[in-house]
Amino acid sequence: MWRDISDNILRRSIERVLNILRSGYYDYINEITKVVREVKRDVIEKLDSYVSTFIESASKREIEVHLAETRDDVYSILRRIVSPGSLAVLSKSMVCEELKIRKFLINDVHCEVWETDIGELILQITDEVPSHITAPSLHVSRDRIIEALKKVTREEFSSDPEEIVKVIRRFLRDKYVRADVGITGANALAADTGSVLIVENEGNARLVSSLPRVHIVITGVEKIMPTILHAFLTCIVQCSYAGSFPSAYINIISGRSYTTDIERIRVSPAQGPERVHIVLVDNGRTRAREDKTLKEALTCVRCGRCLIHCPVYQSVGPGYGEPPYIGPMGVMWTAVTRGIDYAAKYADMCLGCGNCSKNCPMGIDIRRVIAYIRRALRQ
Amino acid sequence: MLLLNTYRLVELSVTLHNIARILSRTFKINSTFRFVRSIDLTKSLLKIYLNRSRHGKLVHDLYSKILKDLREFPIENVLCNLLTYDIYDEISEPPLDRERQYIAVDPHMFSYLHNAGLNVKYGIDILLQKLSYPILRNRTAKVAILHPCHVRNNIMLERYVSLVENILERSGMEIVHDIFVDNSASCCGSFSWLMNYKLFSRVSQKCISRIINDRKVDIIVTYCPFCYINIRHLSSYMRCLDNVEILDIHEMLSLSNVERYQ
Repeated sequence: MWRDISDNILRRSIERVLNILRSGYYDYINEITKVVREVKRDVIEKLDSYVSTFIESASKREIEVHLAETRDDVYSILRRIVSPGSLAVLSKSMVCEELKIRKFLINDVHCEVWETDIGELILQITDEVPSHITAPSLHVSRDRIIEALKKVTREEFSSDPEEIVKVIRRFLRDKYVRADVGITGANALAADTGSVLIVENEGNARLVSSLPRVHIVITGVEKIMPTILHAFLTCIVQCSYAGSFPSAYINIISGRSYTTDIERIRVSPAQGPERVHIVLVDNGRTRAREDKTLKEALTCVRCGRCLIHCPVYQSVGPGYGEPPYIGPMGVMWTAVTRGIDYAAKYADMCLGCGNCSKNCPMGIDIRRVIAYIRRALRQ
Repeated sequence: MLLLNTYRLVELSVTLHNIARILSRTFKINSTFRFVRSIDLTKSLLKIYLNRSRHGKLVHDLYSKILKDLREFPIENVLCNLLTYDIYDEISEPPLDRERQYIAVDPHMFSYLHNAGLNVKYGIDILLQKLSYPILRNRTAKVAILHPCHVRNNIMLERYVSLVENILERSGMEIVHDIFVDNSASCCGSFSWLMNYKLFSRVSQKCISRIINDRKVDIIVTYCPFCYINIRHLSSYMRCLDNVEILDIHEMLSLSNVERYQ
């Protein structure tokens, strides 16, 4: 299946990114990328100080920030926030995939959980794993989607993609309105304002983050940028190199909703969620920061460009790594989150062609990092 | 027949290399030892490559003619490698004579020896210096260039991409472009030959079938000996390669310019 579909999809992906970068309309993207690259490296060096600044800023904006060192820490935080039997809606997040949040909420907290990103929802109802970091369901055929969706919605519809999306939209609207908890990731965090920035095209993340009573952001500590401007630039770089610039929405959440419309008296919450939580996840990131080579991985913005240029990923798809972390960046991130020894078996599939390093907007020498991980096999 | 035997010998050597790799992993033999063995293997493969194949002989002759005025420069100093790249990262000091000058036929070896501070030149550079703006046999053909990834992705070498294209275009050939090859999204997969044959065949076949099926070319040109050996190997069982000529740039240069050096 992968062999049949991958070429056209990958060719289109390459074309899309090239159209953005070489169109002449967005020449500033190259300049922005350089800035983000420099700032990211600086942030990783001084991460502890930025984490403190972010917590301080977010707390001032009535956001509750939690630091979670391990996966179990995240689970215990969620147990405290999410009541058993709640209805939770999730917006696509790699950190949530990394920590298996959906499974945890269903099996351990006994919640009703629905993914709201269409790709992720397809994976949920077909019980599949993601095959690409920005287009997770590209390996699932339309027939399988229809079959699974009919079981869930009990509706009859044609195979026209527009109609399928309409059915999904109708199905999810009801979930948004009834949801107790909305869980999102973050594309960037701003240390100076305590803001959370989320890039999306479908419009689900803004519904997930504003309709339920509680909004929980689960994200890695490495997403912090010094200022809201740098965080915004990071979002532009991410969607440009993912081939979706300009993205339909860039959401900025800087605290709980409020109003001062009644005699200038501040009332919070206003119309947004009653509580906003941010769970800053470490899960190996600090340990990776102490490793001179692996630390480079933390500057990755997860645009997925290395995947589309990787000949091994092009040939074996999600078999190159362990979802959600697949392809060249996946090998690095598996080493960060699960240890170098665990990632070494995937590093051994690397051809060393260097396409990933050449195309990485953050200038990460991914080939070198993977070679370093591979060495663990021999030692 | 001779050519076929060459590929079998290369395959046998690669198998031996794989066995050596597994043994060295199992018994944790030190890296320098492995590197030296790899250099030996490289040299023996190069000898096979140079002496036994039609193409190898042409390359050998071409270099011999060009190098005859460079005294103290035996053909043995022309290196090509089949090393795994992570061994490069591990060994900072190659076990080679620092006083001698080397020529690397392949981009991998050139990059490594150059980074290690050895006196090394890239083979194509030497050829082009001597041939000064070569024009190949004038023929009308659709050509796909499989630029080696170690050329495309190396700041020192990336200029050869346009240089080789220029030679072919000036010779009247029509270069057929491929979005994957042109944008650093392709690799012939040779490296996995040494490690994982199943992966190698998937990557290589994908790379070649894209070029052949989508672009309908008459000739595939490469300028990395490893890519060349790999594609020739694929041609033994990929039917789509039946009517496609596979050439190395050295071979093309030697075929077209050989008279200039007699």
